[in-house]
Amino acid sequence: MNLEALSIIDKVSPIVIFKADKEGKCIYISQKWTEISGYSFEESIGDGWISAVHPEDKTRTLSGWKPKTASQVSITEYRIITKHGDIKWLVTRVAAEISENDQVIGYIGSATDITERKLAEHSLQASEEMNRKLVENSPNAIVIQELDTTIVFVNKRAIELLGARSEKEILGKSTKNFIHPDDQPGIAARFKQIVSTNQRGEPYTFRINGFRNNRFLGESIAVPFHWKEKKVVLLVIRDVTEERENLEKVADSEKRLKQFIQYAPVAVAMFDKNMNYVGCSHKWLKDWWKKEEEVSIDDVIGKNHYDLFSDVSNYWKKVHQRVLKGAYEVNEEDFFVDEKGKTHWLRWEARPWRRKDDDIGGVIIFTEFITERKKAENDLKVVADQLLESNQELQQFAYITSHNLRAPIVNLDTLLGFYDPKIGYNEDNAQVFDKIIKSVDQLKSSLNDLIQLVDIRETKSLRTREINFMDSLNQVLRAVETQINTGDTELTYNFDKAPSVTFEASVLESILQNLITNALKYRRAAPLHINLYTYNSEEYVVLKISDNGIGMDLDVVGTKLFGMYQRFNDTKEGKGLGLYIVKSQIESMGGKIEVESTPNEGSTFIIYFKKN
Amino acid sequence: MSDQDTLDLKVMIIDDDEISNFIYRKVIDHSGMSKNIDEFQQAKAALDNLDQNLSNDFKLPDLIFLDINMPVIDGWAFLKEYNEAILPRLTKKIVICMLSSSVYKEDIEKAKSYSNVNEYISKPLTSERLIQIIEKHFSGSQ
Repeated sequence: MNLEALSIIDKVSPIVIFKADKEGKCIYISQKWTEISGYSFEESIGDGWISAVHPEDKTRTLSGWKPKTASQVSITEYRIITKHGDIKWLVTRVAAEISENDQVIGYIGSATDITERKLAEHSLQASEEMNRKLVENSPNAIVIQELDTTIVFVNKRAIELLGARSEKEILGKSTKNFIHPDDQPGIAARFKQIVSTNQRGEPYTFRINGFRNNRFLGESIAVPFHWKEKKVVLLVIRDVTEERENLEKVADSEKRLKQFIQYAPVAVAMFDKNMNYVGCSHKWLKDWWKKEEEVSIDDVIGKNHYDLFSDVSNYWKKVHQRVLKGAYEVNEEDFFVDEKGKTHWLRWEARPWRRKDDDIGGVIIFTEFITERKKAENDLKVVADQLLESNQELQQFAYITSHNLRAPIVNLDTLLGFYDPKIGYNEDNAQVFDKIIKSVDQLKSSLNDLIQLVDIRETKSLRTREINFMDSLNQVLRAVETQINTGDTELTYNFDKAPSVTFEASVLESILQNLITNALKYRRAAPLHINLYTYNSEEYVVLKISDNGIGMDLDVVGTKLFGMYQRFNDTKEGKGLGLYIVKSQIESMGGKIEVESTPNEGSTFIIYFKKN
Repeated sequence: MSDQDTLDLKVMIIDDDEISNFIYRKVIDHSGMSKNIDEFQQAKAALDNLDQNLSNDFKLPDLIFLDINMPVIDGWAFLKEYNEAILPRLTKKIVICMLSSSVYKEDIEKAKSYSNVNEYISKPLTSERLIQIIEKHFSGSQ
């Protein structure tokens, strides 16, 4: 073939045509070469083209491009580096040109650009390699099963999870062999659905029984696809045993914690940063939920505290704000007044709770109503005060009685020493004797006082009945008749508003007698006027006894007025026992006595008889 | 006893109980230490008397027997008034002897807490006790 013919073929051919002499020097190369390589005809003829060959492929290409025998066609694949620096793949086919006498006179060849094919080949290889590696190294078990459930492929992880010695133990078996019997119906239904819809299934969890007691909980995704010209289902299975156990543990511990809080016999609640309920105890709702409709813990969780309890005070809101900023607050004795005006005592504690990152997550509040305890404490205090008072009174009683009994006795003792029985009657002895009689009288009187005082202390056990004030007054007036008649005395009374009282008759008479006698005793020179008046108050029947006597300066007399053996006047006879007795009698019956007085004007005693 | 023979003390008795007063007199008479006894059944009257005689030592008592338990102004109230109104103006030494039927420790302690209460006597006053007091406060210098 001559060169002209070649150049014509060259124009129509998509391949490079070239010709070399018997030494292998290129004597022709078609235009197509320049298009592919960027090298010109002149640059390429002779050995020029060799410089375009990729250095790594040079030796192989140079030694192998020529056919070894005349009849052979040599095929060589190699890379070139174009004048622009790109790498291109060429495949060269070369045959020897034979003369009539069978001598090799040169070579004719073609070269085709196979770069695109090569790239496609490589990328496929790469992706296959990748897939293979992915499957091999996947942390998930990968199983391919045919539509009749026969397993046709398993990866390393699948062999591991199933506890098989090799894939041979698994391949050819049905997947059913490895599914827990109870889970098989569910799996079968899903398998059917996946195959019929040709859609990938949602993750599904079931129990897998492998070889040699390898059991685990698998979460699988099933994907239908075509593999080796067959419709199959690819299963990707993840071992979720531990994960599930952990989740269950967390759920369980959460549940336990929730129960612990719910049934804790204290009022405790946990809020988030916006004061929404995270949890609370039954006691919390019992203590604080006052609305008609029932509410459960589940009802309040997630709800806002201020929405649920519209009456939360600013006091509490401020506590919440401070705690949300990190404060820990506690109050052992706090109180509030409810809308009905009732005071409630409580002790409380509020502290922030923190998230894993130590940020404040919200507030935990504990409250305990201590109203009852507080009340009991107060009651106890009242009792203690009463006991203290009564103890002081008893001490006073013991002191005074011992004094009043001892005084006449020691006097008697001394006086008897003065009395001289040998002398008989003389003036000295008569004087001493007179004092002895007086001392004995004092002793008798003190003993009588004592008996009377002990009596009052037992008044509580007396039997009460309804008594008319008029009747009692008449009794008393008979006793003091002479005293009233001898002086210029007027006694008036008005019992219309409260004619009677439920009381002990003898005690009422004793009270009236004491007070009227006092009025008579502590009169001024002027005509005496005594008035008695009764009325009802809510709790008491009230008796007022007024006089226009000498009166008292209450600032001086003060609380001593009703004390034992207190005397405030040394010109009048008296032991200072009357008002003490009156007060004791009234108080022992649950009542009280008050006094109003102005010196030189008179006194008013107000007696409150407790109603039943 | 030679001292007491020559003694003639002025004594003030403040006690509302007439029998006690009778006994004081008897005991004091018997001791012979005084023929000059003033008796007051009300503390107020005793205070007035002291106040009036402040400038006249001769009329002021050497020894006061003071009862604790009295109406209106009791022994303690008397002492308070005495310490405030009388004592700062006194030039004469007056021995105060408190008396009570009380054997209560509190009364004795309280009496001792007053620096100018020289003696505390649980009634009755006896000759022996009186002599003790005289010897303690009125022997030697007189």
